[in-house]
Amino acid sequence: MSVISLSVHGIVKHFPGVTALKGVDFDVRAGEVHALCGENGAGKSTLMHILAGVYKQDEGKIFLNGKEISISNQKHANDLGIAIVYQDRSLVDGMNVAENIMAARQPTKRLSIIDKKRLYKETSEILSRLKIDIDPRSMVGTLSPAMQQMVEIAKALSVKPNVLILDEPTATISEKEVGALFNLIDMLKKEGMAIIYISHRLAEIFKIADRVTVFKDGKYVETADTMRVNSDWLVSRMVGRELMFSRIKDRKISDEVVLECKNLTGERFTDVNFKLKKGEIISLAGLVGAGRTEICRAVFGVDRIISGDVFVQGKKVQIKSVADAIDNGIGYLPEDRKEQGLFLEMSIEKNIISASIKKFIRGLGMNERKMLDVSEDFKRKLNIVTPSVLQKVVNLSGGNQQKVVIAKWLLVAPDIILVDEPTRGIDVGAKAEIYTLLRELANKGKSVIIVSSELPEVLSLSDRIYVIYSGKVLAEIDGSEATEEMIIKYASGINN
Amino acid sequence: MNTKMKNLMLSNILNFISLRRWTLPLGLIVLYFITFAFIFPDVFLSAYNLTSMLLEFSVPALLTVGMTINLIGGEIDLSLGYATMFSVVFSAYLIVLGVPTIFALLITVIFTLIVGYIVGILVSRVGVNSFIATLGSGMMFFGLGLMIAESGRTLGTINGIDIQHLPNSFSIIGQLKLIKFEGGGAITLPIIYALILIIIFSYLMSNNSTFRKYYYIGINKKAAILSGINVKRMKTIGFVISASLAGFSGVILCARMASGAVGLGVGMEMNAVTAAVIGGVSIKGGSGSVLGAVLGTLFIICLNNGLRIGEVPSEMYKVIQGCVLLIALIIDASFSRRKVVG
Amino acid sequence: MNIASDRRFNLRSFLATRRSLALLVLIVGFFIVFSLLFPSTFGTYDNFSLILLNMSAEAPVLMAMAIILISGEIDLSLGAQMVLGGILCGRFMNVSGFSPLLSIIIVLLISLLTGFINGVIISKLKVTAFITTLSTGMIFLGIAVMLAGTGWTNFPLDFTAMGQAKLLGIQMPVFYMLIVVFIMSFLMAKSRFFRQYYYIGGNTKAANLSGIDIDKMKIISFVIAGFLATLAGIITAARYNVTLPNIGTGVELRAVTAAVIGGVSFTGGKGNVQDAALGAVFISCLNNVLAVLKVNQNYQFCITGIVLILAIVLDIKITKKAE
Repeated sequence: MSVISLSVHGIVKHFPGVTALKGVDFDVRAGEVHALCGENGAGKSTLMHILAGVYKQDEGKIFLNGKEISISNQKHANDLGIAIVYQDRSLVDGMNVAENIMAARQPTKRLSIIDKKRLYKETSEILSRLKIDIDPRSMVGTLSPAMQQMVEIAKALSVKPNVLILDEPTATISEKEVGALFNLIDMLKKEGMAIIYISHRLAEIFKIADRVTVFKDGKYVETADTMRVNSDWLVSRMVGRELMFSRIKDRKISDEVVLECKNLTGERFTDVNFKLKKGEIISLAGLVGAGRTEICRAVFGVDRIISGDVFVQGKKVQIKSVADAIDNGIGYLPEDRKEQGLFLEMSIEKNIISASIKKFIRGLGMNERKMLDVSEDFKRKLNIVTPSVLQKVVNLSGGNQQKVVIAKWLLVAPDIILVDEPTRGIDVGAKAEIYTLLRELANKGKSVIIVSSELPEVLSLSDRIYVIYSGKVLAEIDGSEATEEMIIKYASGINN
Repeated sequence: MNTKMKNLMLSNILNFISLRRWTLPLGLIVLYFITFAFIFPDVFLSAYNLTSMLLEFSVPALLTVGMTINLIGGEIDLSLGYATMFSVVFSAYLIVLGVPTIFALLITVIFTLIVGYIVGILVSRVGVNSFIATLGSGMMFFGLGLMIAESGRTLGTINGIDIQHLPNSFSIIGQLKLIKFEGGGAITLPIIYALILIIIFSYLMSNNSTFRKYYYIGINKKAAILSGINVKRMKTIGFVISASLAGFSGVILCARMASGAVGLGVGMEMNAVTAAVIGGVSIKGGSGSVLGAVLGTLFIICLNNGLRIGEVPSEMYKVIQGCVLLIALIIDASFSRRKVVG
Repeated sequence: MNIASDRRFNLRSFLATRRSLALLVLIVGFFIVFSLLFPSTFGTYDNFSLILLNMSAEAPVLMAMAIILISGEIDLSLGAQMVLGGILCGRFMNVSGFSPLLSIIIVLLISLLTGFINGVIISKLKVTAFITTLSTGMIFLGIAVMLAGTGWTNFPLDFTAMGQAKLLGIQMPVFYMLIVVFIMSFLMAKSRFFRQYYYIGGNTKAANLSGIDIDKMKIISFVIAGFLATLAGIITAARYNVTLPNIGTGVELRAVTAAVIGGVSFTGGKGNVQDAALGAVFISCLNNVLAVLKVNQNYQFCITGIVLILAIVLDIKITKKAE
């Protein structure tokens, strides 16, 4: 049993209006990967921010190698040997790799003039130790997201920490690169680093972590060795109930094809062919970066279609803009619903009608009464928690914000709905609601295309699955015959 | 009234003001009027003075309208002053050449409209930053304006008209008095044009389904695209409107002065931004109203007018304007930190 | 075996770092072509020094604007501070009777204050830089106008000597410009302290999380900007032996133009001050050629406008193409 590097006891943290942490304990040992799970709002990020020196706890103690410490700011955390890799990019595109890795800590000669020779030498050393082969002089803005992620990690490691915190490290990289990341983590483990790993991707946790801890509503729930438990255990501890997402077998699907793409080619995909039938739910499965979102965006009129045809209800259509797509009955729920789906500083009402403005035209103005009525209606139907639909959306909780985006598209009432990562950033409890909603839509005769990187989700929801690899459709699998192995195989490019 | 009720009332009042940001400039104007009516009742409240203020207000107001539409949509148009200056000299040039008034007006406005369209394409399709694009187009207008002014001087006198002395057939569109008051003062055509256009655009921006899209675009451009709003077209239209309004204002200004004087209009875009901000329009986009911005313009005109009547040395104008703007900004910054109904 | 590898030749990276070279080639090419075409009017030593002299007065303002732009902000009060500097200096010398040296020192100290005001309002009161500096510019200009009256002239000889003396046949302001450009380029490229502006402009959130004190850095940047602008005003007063309230009109926009042509990104985090200076040299060359060709001076506005837009469109196309 190795030594405990970092431990916290009884951490309490208040914010105006909410207590994010209500007295949690946590510890991580040298040479282990300890995963931290929980729904959104469970307190994981808050605890990490405290360890990284961004916040200070209101109550509770922190121990480093057995000694009690107090972390005053980010720099102090680094000096103590704690480093964090955030979800958001912390790099500057306009500067090169070396300057980003050694940000604000560049080696200097007299009078704080940067010592360029030492800068590049030390950066090269860091990169080669981590077996990352990138030219330290290349501009970060020109690297791929996966490479940028590597640079982020190198940056965190350059302070020579003993404790490394990774916050959703695989959120933006493809599965191939996840392998590279895990190799790196293994290497660091062997060198005795203590690693805290935050992730929503339960499958990954069982691959890389030694222990897993669950937080719920700001409280500590339980810790277990990953070898002794499985994802059902994890999910039940996270939501407090067993959830089974079972596939509905033998759905009756009509033969009517509502959407068909033939030889569709765009900037990130080539020669894509697929069909969507009425009342069907199909998935575009694949690795991050395979081109699935790009296919949706092209069908939705956001990105350019270079060649190929789109047929809606059997008729060939030209979709050159989002308005065209909506007119043809296509709707799109983007992956990042907050950034791309909501107008935060506007009221719930204005958000709900934002994609249906045409419906409320009256003369030269708009039918204000109708706008209010419709919004109130959705507030009731979807149970949006708010005193009034005139409230600004920014004031709502995350879950209610999602509901506003859904209301927006329910109002458009498209026949074909493209949903990009339906449960990204949604806690496990709300996932079931979303699945139910999608199934209801399908049962009512709407047709759904889901883009998802979560295999259990793909398997439980889809009637048919298209697996996309590197911009091409590699396989079409019937929902009842699909297995995780099959999908992963095609998604990785293996085609036999 | 106990404290709880007082707080509730205060909260409601602040909510009301935050929702309708034009209340600030309106309040300022009312305050101002009361103060000056008190101190200088005869001069300030005379028909002559009030109508002069309205006349002075007409051109800047139109520029502010154009600027505001762009600001709300998240862009800026720094060429407006130069476009106005160009229109003044260009229309004068055309008149001296013998072009009939109506055609001179049309040609000028169409010219500025086209430039506005090009700028719109540069910003919305090519992706040039609007600050830079309109900086460039402003320079173009300025250079062209100076050259035409020079050519205008060399034209000399044709049929008794020269560039500094334009005929009645033209100047009437800027000088015709519609309502005359005893003791001087009159409502002239420019005031009517301005009021009509202000009412139209104010109504459109707050009620019309198409124009309201500017608010969506200003708050979250990506989400606006994904909601089916044609952002490119809207932005282009924004620059077309601001440029055309500037063109129109220039022609009217020229008619008012009956002279194609160079230099009229330069720097007015900054005044327009100032007025808009005082009126509650955010530089970042997505909030404010045309009404508020226009009231802001009116306030600045009133301010200058009052300072003139009070015989405040003209050097102090800028200082006072700057201070007023700064105070308005600081008040506004503290308001936007409040979380209120939207 | 490597965990991750990316050594492909990166066109974007290559082009992005070669802007200085492109500008130099452009300028040198320009010189050569026009010197050959007009050897007696363009291609003379006096003319070259005139090109540099014409941009020398506003060069410190350009440096100031470049730094501010890199940090992701803008300062529209630089022209006003430039005027104020000249006017105050003139007043101290002619009215209060201070020596030139004392006047300069006091004025420069005051410039720290004006810059500080800008910095505090923008970083602590969180008002947008555009509108803040617009309003402080009005106030500074107004104060300058109030103090100026009709302006001053006939300054002490040792003052005007600073602006009019010649070294190697070139007037002193050119050397001041070279010194300022050299110092600022060096600092922005090599000093760890000044490099932080790239982080602040390039990724403000990240800069914050890295522990950079953004408020402090922004205040300092506006103080430096005010200082440089005021310096420009003093040099201008010395060179022309007169201070007038309209000297600084439009200087901010000219500075932005030169900076953008030189590759400074309007959104921050990209570009450098030496390229901004090259951008200004290029514009000065263009204007000079027009004068030599006896072309209508008014064309220079149109041409500068076109060059500005071309430069940025080219920028956009290159970065898109190499993706």
